[in-house]
Amino acid sequence: MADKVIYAMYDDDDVLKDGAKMLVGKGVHVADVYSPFPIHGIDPIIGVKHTRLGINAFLYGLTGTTLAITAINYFMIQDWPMNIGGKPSFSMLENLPSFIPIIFEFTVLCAAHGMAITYLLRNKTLPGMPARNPDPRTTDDKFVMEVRVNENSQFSGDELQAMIKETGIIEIEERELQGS
Amino acid sequence: MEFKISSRAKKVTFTLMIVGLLAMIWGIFTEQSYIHTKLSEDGTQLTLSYPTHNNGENTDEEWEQFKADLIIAAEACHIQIMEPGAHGHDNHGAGHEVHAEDAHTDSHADETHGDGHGGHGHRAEPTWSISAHVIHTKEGMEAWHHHEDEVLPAVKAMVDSHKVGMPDHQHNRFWSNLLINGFFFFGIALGALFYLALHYATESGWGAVILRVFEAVMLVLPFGAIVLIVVFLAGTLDWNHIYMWMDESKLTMGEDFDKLLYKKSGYLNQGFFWIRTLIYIGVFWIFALLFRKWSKKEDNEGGVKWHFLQYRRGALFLVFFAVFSSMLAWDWIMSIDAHWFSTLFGWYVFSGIWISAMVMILMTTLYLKSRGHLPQINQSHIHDLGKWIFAISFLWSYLWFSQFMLIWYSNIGEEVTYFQQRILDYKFLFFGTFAINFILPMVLLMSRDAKRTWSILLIISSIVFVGHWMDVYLMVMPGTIMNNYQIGMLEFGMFIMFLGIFVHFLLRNLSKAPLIKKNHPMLDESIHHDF
Repeated sequence: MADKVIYAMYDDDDVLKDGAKMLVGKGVHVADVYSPFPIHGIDPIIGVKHTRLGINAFLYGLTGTTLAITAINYFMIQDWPMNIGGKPSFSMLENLPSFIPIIFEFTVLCAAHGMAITYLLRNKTLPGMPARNPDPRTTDDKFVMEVRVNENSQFSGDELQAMIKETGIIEIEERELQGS
Repeated sequence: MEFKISSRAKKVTFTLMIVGLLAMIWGIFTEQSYIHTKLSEDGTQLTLSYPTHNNGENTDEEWEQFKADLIIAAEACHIQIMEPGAHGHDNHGAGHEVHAEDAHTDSHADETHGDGHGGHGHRAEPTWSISAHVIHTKEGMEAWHHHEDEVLPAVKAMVDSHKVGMPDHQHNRFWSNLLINGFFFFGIALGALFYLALHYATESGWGAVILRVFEAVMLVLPFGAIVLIVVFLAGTLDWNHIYMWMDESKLTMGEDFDKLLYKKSGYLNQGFFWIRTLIYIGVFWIFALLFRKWSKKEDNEGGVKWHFLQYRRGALFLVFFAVFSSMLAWDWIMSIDAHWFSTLFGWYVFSGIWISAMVMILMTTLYLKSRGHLPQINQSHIHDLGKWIFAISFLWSYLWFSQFMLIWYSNIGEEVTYFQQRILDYKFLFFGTFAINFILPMVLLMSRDAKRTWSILLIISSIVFVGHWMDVYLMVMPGTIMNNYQIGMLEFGMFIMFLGIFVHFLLRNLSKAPLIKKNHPMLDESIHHDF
């Protein structure tokens, strides 16, 4: 059986949320939702796993902190100790407070850039890559729910369509799943 | 949805009050005057001095008594105290006969422990220089101090740890503690009032079900205010010397003349100080009463009229609060170190007030919920309060560090003395407070689950609560009793007693109105608050 996928379009996020709740209650597995903005509370409904971006952010931040401390220690303490404001840079520990702002900023820089790049890579949305959303209108004011037929083998495609149609959609479309 | 104070809660709060009172009374009798100890650089001589500008009321007999006490206490540890002239004489047990001459030195010698200006007058200061030796017992056994160079530090420790000392007739420690606790608990009520106004001014919806808790906390305002007024009144009547600018003799030409205080006296004078103090407290209290009145009217009459009135008045209050919160921090706290100033101080104090208030609100909410009240409050509300505690911890830490780093880095004599004192004498407490108030909430409250787990919230909030009490302690103590500080029965007792009184009034306020507002327009939104 060729993989089929049903795209149901809504024009309101609350309607989509209620629809998703109803479908999931009947045992339908909703693969994904496309939306122009994050919909609060949709993740637990359709069973999206908790994002691991936070763990990444922590690791990037840690990298930034380490790099900054190492670099400052080399620049300001080892290589060329400077006397600023009567505080000669002979010891990292004693001069630490004056380096905190830089360390903090570099931590934020690394965490933010790392997170953004990870996000773009993971979602395959780097500049120039083909768009993966089923309909360009989901970047504007429409919301699309994706239901895969082969993930819901207990229902036939027609049954699924019938169920989805009850949820206040404005358009529905069935396509062959291409690639992945 | 009425709330009645349970007899258990009454018992607990009364017990806190009584235990605190007893501990405090005990503490008052163990107060000691400040005796400055200084070890000479080669470690052979210890200079004990008693700065009269700081205490002033101990008699010469008490000073002699202190010396005799120290000699006896040292002998008990097999240390013989000798005056410099008596070097080499190995007269066992003759310590009682030794009476070192009082050397009268200028109080300028005490600059490192004063506030760096030495403007405390030129009265003579009793000084006693001693050396000490190990007493070799008849059996030839040596005492536990095996080395001669460990002996003087041991004597110094006896004085520093208040094992031996003179009674403090001025009760510096008592008054300082009264100021600390008065301000801390006043700040909690004020923080709740501020947050209530903020909640209205921003038209927030989520917290509508907790507003009565905010109101109950804010209505304990008079308690802290009265304590503060007592402290200021005592200062005006010359019963305590917390505020050195209140001393008129520093403003008139003479040997006590202080140029900096004189220049500042246009702002820091008693008349204007009292006008300001009464205006702050009056304005806060009027707003608190009005918010409560409108809130009750809203309950009885309904409609959005009262809501929008509070929305407008909330915004107005924030304008007053923005100015007054900074100014009261200067007047009440910063003016203890009247020679010093920091432009960030107001915000720093305000962030401390805010977080203490949020902790109190969270604790009260959790208490009510655990007793089966407030079923409308769900985990999302608790989570939000947890987020506030997490966020304001960062705000406080940010302001603490900004103030510290700039002053520490620029290293200007007029400014840096404030931190020098805290780092030299209060190092562990000073950095420990920062670590606890910053790192603990940051690490342990960061995750979403932690903010929804009651036990974690309770533990972190309690520690942060004490941490911010400690923060106020560190704002006041170094300026009033310098390095003569202790955390003992007095501190513990007064804190416990004030906590008991505060919580008791808080619960009484809660019982005076329904726990949930009836006609708040965003009540429905708040009950369904979920994320």
